[in-house]
Amino acid sequence: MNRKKFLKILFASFAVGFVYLWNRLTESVSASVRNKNQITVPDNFALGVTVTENFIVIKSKEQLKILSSKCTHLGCRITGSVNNIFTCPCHGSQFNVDGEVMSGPAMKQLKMLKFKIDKKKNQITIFI
Amino acid sequence: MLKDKIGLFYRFWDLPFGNIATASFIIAVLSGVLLALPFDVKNPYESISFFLIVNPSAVFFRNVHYWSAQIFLMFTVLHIVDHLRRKTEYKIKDGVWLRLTVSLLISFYVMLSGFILKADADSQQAFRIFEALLNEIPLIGKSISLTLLGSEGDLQIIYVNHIATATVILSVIIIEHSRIIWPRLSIFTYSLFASIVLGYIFTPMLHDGLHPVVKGPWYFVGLQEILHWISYSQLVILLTFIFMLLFYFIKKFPEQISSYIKKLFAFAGLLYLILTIIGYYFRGENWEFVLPWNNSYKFISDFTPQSGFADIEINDESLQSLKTIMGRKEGCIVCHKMNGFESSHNPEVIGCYSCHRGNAFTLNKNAAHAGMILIPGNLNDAHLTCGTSQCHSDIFSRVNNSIMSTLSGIVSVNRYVFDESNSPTMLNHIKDIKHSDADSHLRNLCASCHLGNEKTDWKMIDELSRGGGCNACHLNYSNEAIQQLNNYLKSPRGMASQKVKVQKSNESKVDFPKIHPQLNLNISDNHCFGCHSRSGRISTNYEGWFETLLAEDELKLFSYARNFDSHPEFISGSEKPKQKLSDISQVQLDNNKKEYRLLTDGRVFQKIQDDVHHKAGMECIDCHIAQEVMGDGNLHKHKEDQVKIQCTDCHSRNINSISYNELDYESKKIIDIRKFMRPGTEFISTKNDNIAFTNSYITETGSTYLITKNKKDSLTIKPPAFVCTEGKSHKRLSCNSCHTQWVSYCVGCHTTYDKNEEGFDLLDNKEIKGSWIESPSDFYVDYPALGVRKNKSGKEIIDTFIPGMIITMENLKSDKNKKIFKRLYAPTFSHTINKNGRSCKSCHNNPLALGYGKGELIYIIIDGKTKRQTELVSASKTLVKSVEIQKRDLPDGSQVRNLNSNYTGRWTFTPHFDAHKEDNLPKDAWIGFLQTRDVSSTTRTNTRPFTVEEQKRILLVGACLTCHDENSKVMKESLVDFEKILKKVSVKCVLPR
Repeated sequence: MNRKKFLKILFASFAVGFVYLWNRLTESVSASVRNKNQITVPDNFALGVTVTENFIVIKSKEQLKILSSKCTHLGCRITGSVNNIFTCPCHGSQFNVDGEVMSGPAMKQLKMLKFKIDKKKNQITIFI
Repeated sequence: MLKDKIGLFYRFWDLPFGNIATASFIIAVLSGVLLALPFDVKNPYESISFFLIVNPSAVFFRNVHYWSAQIFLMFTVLHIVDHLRRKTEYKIKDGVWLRLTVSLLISFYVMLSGFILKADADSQQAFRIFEALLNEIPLIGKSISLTLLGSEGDLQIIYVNHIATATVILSVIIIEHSRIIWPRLSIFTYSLFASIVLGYIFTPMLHDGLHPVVKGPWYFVGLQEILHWISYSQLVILLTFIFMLLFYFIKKFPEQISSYIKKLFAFAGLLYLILTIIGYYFRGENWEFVLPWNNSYKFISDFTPQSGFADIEINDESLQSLKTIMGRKEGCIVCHKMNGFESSHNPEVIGCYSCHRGNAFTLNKNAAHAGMILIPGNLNDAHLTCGTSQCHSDIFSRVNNSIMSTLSGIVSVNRYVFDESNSPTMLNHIKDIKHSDADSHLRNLCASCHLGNEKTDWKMIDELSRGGGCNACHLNYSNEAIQQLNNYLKSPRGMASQKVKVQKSNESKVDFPKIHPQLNLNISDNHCFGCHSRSGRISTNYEGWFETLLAEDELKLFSYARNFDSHPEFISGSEKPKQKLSDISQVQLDNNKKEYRLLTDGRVFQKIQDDVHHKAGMECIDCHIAQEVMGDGNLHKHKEDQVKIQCTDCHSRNINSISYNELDYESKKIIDIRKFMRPGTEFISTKNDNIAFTNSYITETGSTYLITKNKKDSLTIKPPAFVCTEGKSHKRLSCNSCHTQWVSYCVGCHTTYDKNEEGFDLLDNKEIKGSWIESPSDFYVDYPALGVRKNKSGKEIIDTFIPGMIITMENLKSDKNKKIFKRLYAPTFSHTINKNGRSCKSCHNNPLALGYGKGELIYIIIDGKTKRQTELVSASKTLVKSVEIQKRDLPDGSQVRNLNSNYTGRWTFTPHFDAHKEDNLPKDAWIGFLQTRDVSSTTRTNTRPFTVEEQKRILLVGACLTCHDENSKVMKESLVDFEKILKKVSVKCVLPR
């Protein structure tokens, strides 16, 4: 092994180490952000469709469904519905009230969000 | 010399692209340093909106920063194209070429991070897309994303990278590549001049999220189009990587391959340019393809000329008035100091821009008003105003689907009448109608009464108002507001705004109204009256007016009709503030004690009994709840499908209730606004969908009350009478079958098409050649006909009907020789409810109730021995007469119910109107006497007239009623179990077969 080769290996090792530390750093930062991902709001949604910034509520006499408003294509927020069809404003993916894809580019259905209803406080906690 | 300079532009490829790009980069860096002073990375959107309004210097540097950056990008691309064209890449060292290749990505990063830093709605979406794409990079994607962008909602990292990291790296690469620090002074001057001029004319605007269209920065609109077609976003990363790789290896490949790669780049560039144009100009809402002039996303409004240059000076007082509204500052309030708002729409809370759009971030008059919506709330643009995601988007989508917007039932029935549809029950929308006979008939006579009809004047809602979207119900003017508006409209400027020709005036001072109308919950019956006084005439019925065939002139001829003379302005159609329509249009005519009312449209109505709820002071909205009137989001075929409420929601011994905590957001909001909250009480709720009557309450003892929404009167709600709920004889009857005291009969309408008549297209609001002419024949008032309606659960109930269309149409638009005759009855809820209900005879001995039309229904008893006949019933009259008629033959088939009796009985009917030549039925009949017709005789598929068996059964009771008083014991017992009574019928009873 000559000096040049040694230095190259050393540099590559530093690069790998740097990438490893970099990943650890960003993972740690991301984890602190993830912990904030739940929202508690009054449980008073109207029958029909309510689109909020982070989630979409579909309430009928029989059931309550909460979908993520984040498009499964590239993460844009869906901001409204027309005839109970949600169109992503960024790239035109369309979803029905069950979150199923009606037309692409999205391929996955909207994420069905878990929620917990506190009847005493009449609140609903949504896990985004 | 001048020739040389002009010639330079002819020699396009001789332009110093690299120098211009470098100069523009330096300008962008320098202006960026100054722009950092007013920019607040913690509140980026608010800080930009603030300095756009109040700080022209900051606007100048922002504009220069923006345009120099765009020039830098454009000329960098041109510089690359130029050198690839000239094959100069071979002169560059490999290391420098590698860094230049990387710098392409850095350049786009600097541009995009600048776009994201304005933090408006488009920027936020761009951030999410960029983040998602970077996350797709294998292994280190998330780390790259976090390092370059930071976390959503915090722009600190991206700001640092934009102003420092990326800029410094780019500067080093540029210097290394160009080997110059300063470009030529002349190039620098031209570049600066270009940035300043472009910045002077075009201010890059903020996008607020109120518009449903999202577009990225112009250089990524093409990519946005590509992403529309690519489901696997990893492909974009891969393609970018391949392009970068190809770019890097372009100088390493043999020349022929390099040439192919360059051609590929050229082709891709051209394609990208086309996609960019399509994306910018031809992409509309919900990714629909639209032509640029129909695109509601106004490209031009993004770059409003001179918007950075204020027309007025801002003072300390104006600065104080600039509150932060929905995360932004709005400049409108500096000039428009209006008051009169209700709390929900206070501009200090929602600003002006939320409703009126335009450009809120400028004090330049023209720029501020460009793209403004003067009358917000019309359905065609409500998605940009009332119905945006930040306001009433859930309601707007419901209203759009509601029957008052679609008119589905009217369109369907009309087409059915014209034989253009096989069924009267279809899903249609008024905006989709074409120009067939049926549709042109609607366009000509009916199509103005839908919520989508655009309100184009500023007037308050009156009898002549039609549509107007949200305004139709919610627009209200205070006395002062309407007075100021009228003063303005009378001024030359105001008249000009109404396109009224006025003489030129030197008057410079214009008294613009200072009091804004309100959009509130004070929905009065007058809001409903314009549309609902027509067709079914629910509004006039409710108030106790029925339409006559009297003409306006005939009424005016009455010498004692002085009220008309004292209010000529009303007749002419203008309005007075807060003046109740009924106060000035009602006239008591002394000679025959009849009271008439002249509507603004010239129709004359006569006074009759009003609805019991109206007598109690209730208005339409006291019963009709928001979730019903504005729709439930579903499309309905007929109006009754959309109706949620029913009589038994309130008048029942088994009332549904709901507590405040269980209410939906909308109901709670209404209660909070109306201050209807009563601690510890429950609300009555609908049996359909359990929706609260927000103006009701149930006490702990179970008493039920209703508070009138506008007048705030507390009314006791009474349960139904014993007779309504007990017994099985009437269990199929709807409440209104008994409690409807009158309906209007409009029979024998004759309609023709005159191609030479001047007409009006009510849907498109334009004058047309050719018109349908309608001539009513007879109006009268009486009890409704009864028939059978199948409800949603399939149960048949007896309900009220009126002639929906007894119409002869001749000389059709499509075929002047064609003639159509239709006799259709329609189910109705006439809104003429009385407390006591109708008498037994008014149904059982009434030809109208059975559907035979007006006339005499007589029960004849024949003595088998003496051959004498006795008429026992005068149908709709309450008195029983007994007249012996001599020398008449026994009718065939008559039969005595009681086998021991010598008597036989039979019904006869003598119609009031002559038989129609088309079907030989009396003009107002639904069915023939003791005959029937199928469902095609009605305007619904779930309704029908009585069968012959049902008629006989009704008339059987009618026969009893000829002798027995309806309050007699036997008749009351018959309500409980009529079959049981029949079994013990007396020998004296003579019943029809």
